[in-house]
Amino acid sequence: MLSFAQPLFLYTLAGLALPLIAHLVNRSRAQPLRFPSIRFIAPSQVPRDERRWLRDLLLLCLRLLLLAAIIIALAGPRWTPQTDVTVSTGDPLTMIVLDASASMGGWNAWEQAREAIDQELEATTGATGLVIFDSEVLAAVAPGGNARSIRQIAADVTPGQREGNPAPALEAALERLGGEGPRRLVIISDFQDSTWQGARWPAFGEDVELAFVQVGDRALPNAAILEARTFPASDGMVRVLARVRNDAGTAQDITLTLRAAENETTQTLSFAPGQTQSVDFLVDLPESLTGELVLAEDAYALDNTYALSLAPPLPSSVIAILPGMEEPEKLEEVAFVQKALTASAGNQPPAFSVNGAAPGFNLTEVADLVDVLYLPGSLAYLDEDQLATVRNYIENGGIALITPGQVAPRQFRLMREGGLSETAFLGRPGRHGDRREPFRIAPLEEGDELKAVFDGESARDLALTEIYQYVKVRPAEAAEVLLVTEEGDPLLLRETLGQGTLIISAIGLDPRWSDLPLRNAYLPVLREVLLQAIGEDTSLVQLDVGNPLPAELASVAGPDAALLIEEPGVMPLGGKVIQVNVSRDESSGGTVMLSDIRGRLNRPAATDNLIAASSVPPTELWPWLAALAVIFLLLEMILSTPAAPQRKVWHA
Amino acid sequence: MATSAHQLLDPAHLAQLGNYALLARSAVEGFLSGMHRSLFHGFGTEFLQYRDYTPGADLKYLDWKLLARSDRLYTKVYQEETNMNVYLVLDASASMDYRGERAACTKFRYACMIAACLAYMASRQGDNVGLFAYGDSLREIIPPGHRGGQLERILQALSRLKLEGAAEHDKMLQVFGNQLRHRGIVILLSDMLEGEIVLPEQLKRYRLRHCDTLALQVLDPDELDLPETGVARFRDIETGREVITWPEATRENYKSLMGDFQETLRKGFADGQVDHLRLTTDESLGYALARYLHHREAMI
Repeated sequence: MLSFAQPLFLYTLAGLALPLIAHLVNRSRAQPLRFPSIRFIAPSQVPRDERRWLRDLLLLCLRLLLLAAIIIALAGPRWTPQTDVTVSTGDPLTMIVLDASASMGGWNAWEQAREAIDQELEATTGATGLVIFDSEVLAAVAPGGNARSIRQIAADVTPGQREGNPAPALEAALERLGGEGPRRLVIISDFQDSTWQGARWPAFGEDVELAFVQVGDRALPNAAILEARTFPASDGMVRVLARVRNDAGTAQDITLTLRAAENETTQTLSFAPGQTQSVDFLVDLPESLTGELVLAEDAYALDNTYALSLAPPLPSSVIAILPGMEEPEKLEEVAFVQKALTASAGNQPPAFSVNGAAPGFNLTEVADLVDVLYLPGSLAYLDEDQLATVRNYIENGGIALITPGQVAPRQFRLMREGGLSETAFLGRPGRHGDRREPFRIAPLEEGDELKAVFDGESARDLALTEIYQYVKVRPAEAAEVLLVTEEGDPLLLRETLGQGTLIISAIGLDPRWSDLPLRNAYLPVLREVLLQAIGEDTSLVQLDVGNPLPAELASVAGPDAALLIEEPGVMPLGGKVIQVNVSRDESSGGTVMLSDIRGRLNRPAATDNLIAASSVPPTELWPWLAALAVIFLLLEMILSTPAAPQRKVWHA
Repeated sequence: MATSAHQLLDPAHLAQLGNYALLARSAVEGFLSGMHRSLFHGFGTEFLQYRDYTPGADLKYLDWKLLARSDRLYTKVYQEETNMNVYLVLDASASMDYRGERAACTKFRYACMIAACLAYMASRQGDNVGLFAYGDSLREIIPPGHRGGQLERILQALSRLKLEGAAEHDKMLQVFGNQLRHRGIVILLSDMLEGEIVLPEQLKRYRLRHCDTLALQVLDPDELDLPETGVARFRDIETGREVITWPEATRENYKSLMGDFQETLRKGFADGQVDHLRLTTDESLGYALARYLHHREAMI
């Protein structure tokens, strides 16, 4: 059977009329010519050049065939051997596919679905089967089972809390329908877009009759808790930030309650239709460290609760080793860094805690508790043992942020001698004194890691930064350059040492070196560079109901792993906190177009079915057509080559 | 790179010069310098230039005033003046307005270039030169003369000529004959189509009136062997009549008839002792100038 991957391309075959028209328009005709005297010119019969006429006709045919071959090749023709499908007449086989995903539990969808099954069973005369699915196939009955047992099975199953995935159910239905005779597929679902989009479905072919029964009253008002996060607050309190959406078509007041241990905190806010708002709670940290957000009853109950861990994420600890009395101005730099990092903790995890330490600080004892070791020019004053300690700390996964001080040459020499970095000090271009214009940061280019953070206005702010002085360095071979000056000198480098990371700045992070600390760009630069080194906070694992646990936690949970993800809740596991909730995608009020689903199930699918049925792969025909087109082209070129020039008779 | 005299007389080159005065000067000066002599400087009445005195020169042409002022000997050179009349008779019928693919210009433009060159040359030699242009009626007539502005008048007349109608050779050459008062050279510039009987008869009459005659026939290369084209509808420029033909099929017949026509012309002119020169529009103007000089020498 012949089929096409791009059948719409065949419409361009109408373009074949163009060569025909051109042929008719350009047919040979007498050319008018003014001449001084026609006294000696005798009229002659217009030549009927049969050979030329034949050649023109051949050329026309070749050009038509060439165009047709190209167009059909582009349409992607495929040939599939015809299988011996015998079509029998009689009552069709019917498979009912029933959606039991979480969203079917709301908007009265499930009740309507059961009524639809009853009606279908009464109306159908042939054998009927049933497949029920959420994220997997929950039940499957092949056609032929009696109607009573099908009704019983449908009554026993209730919508779960999982996301829907119709692909396995459609596969199961296709398998049970087989490839012969009249067949019918009935899909009963709310056709919510999160369930019916993005999956790769089997194709049923054009001979399978499709029927869709859409259930659920989507006009019923609903509100959903989309997300909630916990942040540390002062005085042993935590801040809970929840995002709530009003899915109703009208404005409504929504009451949100936070239950933490015995305490309940309630807030009521007015929502416009379709509006999403953040709701902020400040509560004492309960001993259980768990809480639940609750909305009032509405059309869909499963998005009215949200289980969350109230344990705020641990702040990343930054220890700043000060250079002491040698460089007292570095205290100012540390103050700037501390303010910037702690100020950002309010609504953007992770939080940072920045603490200062004397040069004699014993890093070895607390290395495990330190996320970032900040060395504001102090590396130049460390002795050999301290350098070795710093090196060990970094090699074991630590992060060091190093900024230059007054004795930058000594600092970079010690770094090289201590085996920390091969980045070399070259000079101080900012101190030559013959330059009045400040240095500037070169614009970030596509592919730069900081480009994702700095875009538009923020990128402009970064580019306007005035740098008064910096140390010119030659980066080590393996170093990644994160920022450079307009002159191309590196300003911010990242190197890997063992399992750890070394962040080297060529400017001090206080206003003596640049006006960056006074700009909006200061905080994003610091946070992004440190976050990229620290990595994401993995202490809280958020899952949807039914989603599998990460492999390392599944091994810890053992046989109970599947149970942990069946219900919403918060539980500690393997040193981490697992937070499970019903997928919020199921709250979506959008539905898909049934014609789209019909198109996808009936798509060029006949061949797909036959593949499954006969296991004979279709033959791609375009290479043959391409070869034909080349042959036609060669023949056309040969025929269209003008004949040898006629003998010219020139007057002597 | 210097331009050779041959290039200067190439119609493809000259046709690019819109100004007939410039065209004639560059063609004729180039032509004459190519001959390495100045033929007709003599001692007429119109001063031309000074020349160093050489022993033996006629003392009556010595400039005494200049000798008194500068104590140097110079003789005056005068432009020769003759009573020679040069009549340029130009066919300005519509059939002259044709240019084939092989030609550098139309037949009329080519004829005008020759006329301009001859007028310049005659004027330069002190001859009286006049113009008579005709088509189906008289278009321009400038009686012969050589005084100031005569050459300009002729060149301007050539510039303003319009090509219309069929050539009435018989009638118009009779009109011209009535104007002919003095002996001289009559130079006819025409494609001579339809005139193989009339033209030799008319020019023979001038011959009998002690005029030297030169018939310059200007043809396009296409007129000798038909253009290289496919089936064409040939439309007669003068009459508007049309004939559809395939040149490949009728070329030999056409060439044969054209040959007969040329032979008739040649015989007619030969019988009347009229010099006949056939030129095609891709040929050098030098042939026409040389033939004129030949006649000019014979007349002196």
